[in-house]
Amino acid sequence: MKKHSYITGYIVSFLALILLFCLLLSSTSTRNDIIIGEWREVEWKYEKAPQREKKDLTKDEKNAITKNLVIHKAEEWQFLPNGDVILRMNGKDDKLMEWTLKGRGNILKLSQNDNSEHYNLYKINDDELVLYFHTDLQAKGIVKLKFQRIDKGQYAKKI
Amino acid sequence: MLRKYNKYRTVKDNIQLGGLTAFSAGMVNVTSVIIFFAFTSNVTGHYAILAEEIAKGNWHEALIVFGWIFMFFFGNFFSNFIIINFDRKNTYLAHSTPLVVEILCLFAVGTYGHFYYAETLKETEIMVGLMLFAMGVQNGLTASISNFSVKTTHLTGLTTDIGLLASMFTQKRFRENKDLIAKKNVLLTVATSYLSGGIFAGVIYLKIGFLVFYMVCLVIGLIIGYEYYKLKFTKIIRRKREVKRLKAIVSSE
Repeated sequence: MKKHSYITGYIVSFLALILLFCLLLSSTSTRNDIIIGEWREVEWKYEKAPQREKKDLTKDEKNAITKNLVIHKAEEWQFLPNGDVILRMNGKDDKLMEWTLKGRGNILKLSQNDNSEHYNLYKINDDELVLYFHTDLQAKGIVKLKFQRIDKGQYAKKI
Repeated sequence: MLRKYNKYRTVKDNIQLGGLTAFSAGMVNVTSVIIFFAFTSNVTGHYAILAEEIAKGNWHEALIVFGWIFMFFFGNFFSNFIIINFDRKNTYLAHSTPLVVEILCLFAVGTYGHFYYAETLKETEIMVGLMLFAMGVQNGLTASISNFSVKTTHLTGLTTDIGLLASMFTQKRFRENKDLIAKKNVLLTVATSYLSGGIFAGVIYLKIGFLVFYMVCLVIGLIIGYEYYKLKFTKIIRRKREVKRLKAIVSSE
């Protein structure tokens, strides 16, 4: 009798935990939802610089690092709910790609045909998006890309 | 490998069980890192990530990581629950049931991944959870039936033990200790198998993708099948001996 009450206690505890887990999960928003929208690049710098004193990247350095990357020259990124992402530079040269989040939502995968690139999604909230990626093109380091969400009103005006 | 429990197990039993299960764990872990960018055979890193996500206030991600840790915990719970409740009725069945459950989980991941996976975050989260459950089941089984001397997915503890043993072997009295030599053999087998499994999976994933999980199922199936064969073989031998003994009694009368 005592054994059964113990097992019942375990089952009830597990079910309660699962229920609480599901309730909490449904009340939080996922990175999948937050990322949807249009973002503008505002900062490019070394998070872990190859040389200690040099953190900022010049435009030439940025171009050299991104030369073989799909994000090359993109200044505005628009994530669509259908899994597409449009990379823009001054409103022209649009590049259509696919995006998906991996891991626990900490890896952003951008792919086009058979090519894919992965970025570490370090931070995201309603206003700011920060991506990290490793580079060893000129010297080994971690590059930080910071984006700001384009204000919806401003975006509508621009269109 | 599976029929014997705790003190009745030999070093050979532990080496066979540890080697094969560690090989499969290495395969699962490396494949999951390649596909899902998440470790699935250990939770040490997940605890650190959980703390980090809570500190950053990323509640959704924290919940997901908590869910993954819970799945690993529940796998261990389930495995040991089956063993301690059914071991006296049928040891082989009690010890092979967790492995059958593990095969079912990994088979589900392999099949879904190969035929239906659309690379969404939700799918990733669920599949990583299922794999952590499977690895928990496996770790719980090996640790439980070997009296905690074999842990196939716990390489932090294993590396610690190897480090301690290596330092102990600087002294002759420890070098000649048979128990320590046996322990060293088990630990090195597990470490080597885990690494080999990981390398093997990393190489074949490039060719067969999600079907790697079918290979893992095959390795685990080998443990169950080998034990079943041994069980049948032992029974036949015993029966023959019994018949021989009875014949001898009858002829002497």
